[in-house]
Amino acid sequence: MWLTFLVSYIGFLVLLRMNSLFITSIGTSEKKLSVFTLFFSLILSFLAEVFAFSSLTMWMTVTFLILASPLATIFLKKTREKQLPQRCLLCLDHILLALKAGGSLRAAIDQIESAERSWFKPFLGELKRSIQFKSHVQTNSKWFKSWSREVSEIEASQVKTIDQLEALRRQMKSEIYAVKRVSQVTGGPRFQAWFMSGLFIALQFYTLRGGFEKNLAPLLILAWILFISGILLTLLLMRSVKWKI
Amino acid sequence: MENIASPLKLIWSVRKSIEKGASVKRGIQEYLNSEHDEWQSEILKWQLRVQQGLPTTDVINMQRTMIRKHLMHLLERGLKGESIYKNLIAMEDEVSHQVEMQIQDLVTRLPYLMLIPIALFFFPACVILMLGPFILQLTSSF
Repeated sequence: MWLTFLVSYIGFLVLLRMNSLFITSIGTSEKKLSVFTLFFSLILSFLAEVFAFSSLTMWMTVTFLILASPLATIFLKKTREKQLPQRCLLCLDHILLALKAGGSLRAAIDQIESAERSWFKPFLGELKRSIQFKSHVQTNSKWFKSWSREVSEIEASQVKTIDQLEALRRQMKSEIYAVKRVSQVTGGPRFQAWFMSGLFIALQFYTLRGGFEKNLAPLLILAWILFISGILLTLLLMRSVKWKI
Repeated sequence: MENIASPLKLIWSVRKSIEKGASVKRGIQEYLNSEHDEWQSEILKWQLRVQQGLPTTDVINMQRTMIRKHLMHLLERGLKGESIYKNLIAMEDEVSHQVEMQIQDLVTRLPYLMLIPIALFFFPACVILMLGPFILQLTSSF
C-alpha cells in the first residue's frame, strides 16, 4: 500500500516536472496545471479502483498518462497558437477604438494589458516591449512575431496610423475567415481519426480487461496493423487534398 | 491542405505593402520571407529573372493554374513601375471566389472519401477486438 502510494507520488512529481517544462511556452500558470494534473491522477485512481484494472492494463494506463501529459501540453500550445489571430484581432479592435477616441497606440496597449487576465497577457507584454524598445518579441510563435513587427512598424511610421491599422485588420479578418473555412473542411477527417483512435484504445482496454492471454496475440497484432493502416490512409487522403489554385 | 492558397497569400502580402506605401517588390519579399509555402521557390525563380531582365515567359508558362500565370504577369507589371493596386483588388476577389468554390466542392466530396479508411481498416480492427476473444473461445470449446 505504502509502496504503491510512494510510486504514485513519485509519478505525480515526475508529471508535474514534465508539465512545468511546457508552462512558459503555453502561458498557463503553474498552479492551474498542478490542479489539472492532480485532478487527472485522482480520476485515474478512481477508475482503476472501480474497474479493478489488471497489472497490464494499469501499466498501459500509466504509460499512456506519462505520454499524454507532454502531448496534452503540446496540444494546448497548438490550440493557443490557433487562437492567437482571433485574440490579436480583438486587441486591434480595442487599439483602433482608442485611437479613434483620440488616444495613442502605446497608451491603448497599456490599457488592454492591464485589463487582460488570460494567457494572452504575456503576449501583450511582449508587444509593448517590442514597440517601446524596437526589439523582436520573445516568443516561439512565428505568426505573433510577424504581427507584432507589423504593429511596431505602423506605430513607428506615425503616418495614417488608423488607415494602416484598419488595412491590417481587414487583412487579418480575411485570413481568419479563410483558415476557418479550411478547418471546416479538414476538421471532419481529423475528428474522425481522433475518434477512431480513442475508440480503438478503449476497445483494447476492454479486450484486455481480464489480463493478457497468449492466444490473443495474433488478433491484437492484426487489429493494430489494420488500425495503423487506417490512420496512414486517412493521413494520405488528407495530404492529397491540395489547392487547385 | 495548407490553410491559405498560395496566390491569395502573395496577393495579401503585396496589397499590404502597397497600402503601407511600400513597393510591390517589398510585398513579394515579405511573402518569400514568410512561413514556408509551396509556391515560394517558383516565385523566387521568377523574381530573379525579372530582376536580371531575362524573359519570364517559360517560368510563367510552367505554372499549373491560370490564376498563378495571370498573377505573375500582373506583378511583373507592378515591378516595372505600373500601378496595379486596382487590378490586385479585383484579382483578390476572383481568387477568393475560386477558393470558396473549391471549399464547397471539398465539403461535399471529402465525407465520402473518408469512408474508405473506416470501411477498409477501422471497422475490421474494431470488430476483431470486440468479437475476436469470443470467436477464439468458441473455437477452443469445440
